Amino acid sequence: MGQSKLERLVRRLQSNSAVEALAPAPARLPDCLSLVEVVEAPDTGLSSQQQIHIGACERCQRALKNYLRMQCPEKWQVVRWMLRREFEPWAAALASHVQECGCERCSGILRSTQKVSAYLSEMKDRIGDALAVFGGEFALVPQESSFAGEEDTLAGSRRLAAISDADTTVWLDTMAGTLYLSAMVKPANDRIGEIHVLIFGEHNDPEWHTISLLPGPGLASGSKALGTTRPWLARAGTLTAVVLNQPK
Amino acid sequence: MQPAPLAEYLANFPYSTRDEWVRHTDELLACLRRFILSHRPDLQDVDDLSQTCFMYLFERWRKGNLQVTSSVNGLLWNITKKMCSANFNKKSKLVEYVAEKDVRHQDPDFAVPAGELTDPEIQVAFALLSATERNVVEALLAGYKPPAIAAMLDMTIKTVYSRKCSAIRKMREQIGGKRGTVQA
Repeated sequence: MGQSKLERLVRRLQSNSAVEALAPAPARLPDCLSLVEVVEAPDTGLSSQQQIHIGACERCQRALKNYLRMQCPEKWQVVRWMLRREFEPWAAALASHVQECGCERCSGILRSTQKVSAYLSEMKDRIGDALAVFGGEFALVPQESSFAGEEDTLAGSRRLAAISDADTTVWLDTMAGTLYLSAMVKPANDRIGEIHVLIFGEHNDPEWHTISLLPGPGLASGSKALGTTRPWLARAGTLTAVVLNQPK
Repeated sequence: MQPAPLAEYLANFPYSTRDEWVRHTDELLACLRRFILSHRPDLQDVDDLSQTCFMYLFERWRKGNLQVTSSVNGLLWNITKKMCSANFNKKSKLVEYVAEKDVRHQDPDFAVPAGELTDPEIQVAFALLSATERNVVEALLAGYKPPAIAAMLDMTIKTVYSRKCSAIRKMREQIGGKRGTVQA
């Protein structure tokens, strides 16, 4: 078959997508988010008014999608969107980003967060509006017989992993063969009585742990024994932890 | 009025507060747009790419690690490298490898056989790339010349080509002929 026909086909494909890509940007409406607000939205959250607007505004949907082109979210951020009831506009942008860019990372995030969504909705009803939500990845390098991690010879424990935000730290450690999940809030805050920690990985069901905090000098802390082992300790990889502070 | 050249604009941008970013968003977008178009007038999706560039700059500023480089090409390089890792998502190990090696030094190991990129099959694969993928590839090509980028481009397209090979096969059936070998 003639090469010219193939070339014509190529040209047609290119010109079609060119026309599509060069379609004029939708008009800016008074309620449209500025690009600065879009960049801040993963941290500051989207108000319900903004969410309603984005749902109906092609321009803002495009801006969210462009943000995801630049910055793929972390798994715990997606969980935070779900907990803050603001997942919908991001879900549309994520789906579009995955479809257009073939981003396998975000596709995996969508799959794994969908697995925990029923769980999250149950917890959301239980805890109400959280004071703060933050998270991170626990990078574990597990060994069959002993937990890897940094040894604290004074305390006789071995720190496996930790995540923190400005005033809260949550960590996993092991002492005398038992695994502990602990939290510390600094300075002590009367409003915070307990901390919820959601832990999930690619291969395990989500685990929800509540740690009661006891006030101490300048800080509040608490710990919970998880037992001698957990299924996720047998696998190398990352665990996503999401921490919620609850008003007392 | 024509927007100022990007390098000059960025050098004089008032980075002091968030409000300045809000106030100057449209100006900076116009400069980015002009910059991208001046490098690649044929580049599609310019508005989306300028928005992405703006967000990249602002994100870096708010995290305290924006460095206004003297080389404006460096800016585009950083952006496209970033987009590469996000959008190709480690599809091509080569992308990361080249990024690590800093292709601006033009590694002689990355020689590309002459004429390879003009292969019509590769052009078909290129046509089947998404607009974003094409932008990344085009922008990479714009700022950094062969041989290093050309080799990377070639490999990336081949990777995508393999993925899209059933679509290509179908297309060939439609146009009623076979030509060359389809890689699985």
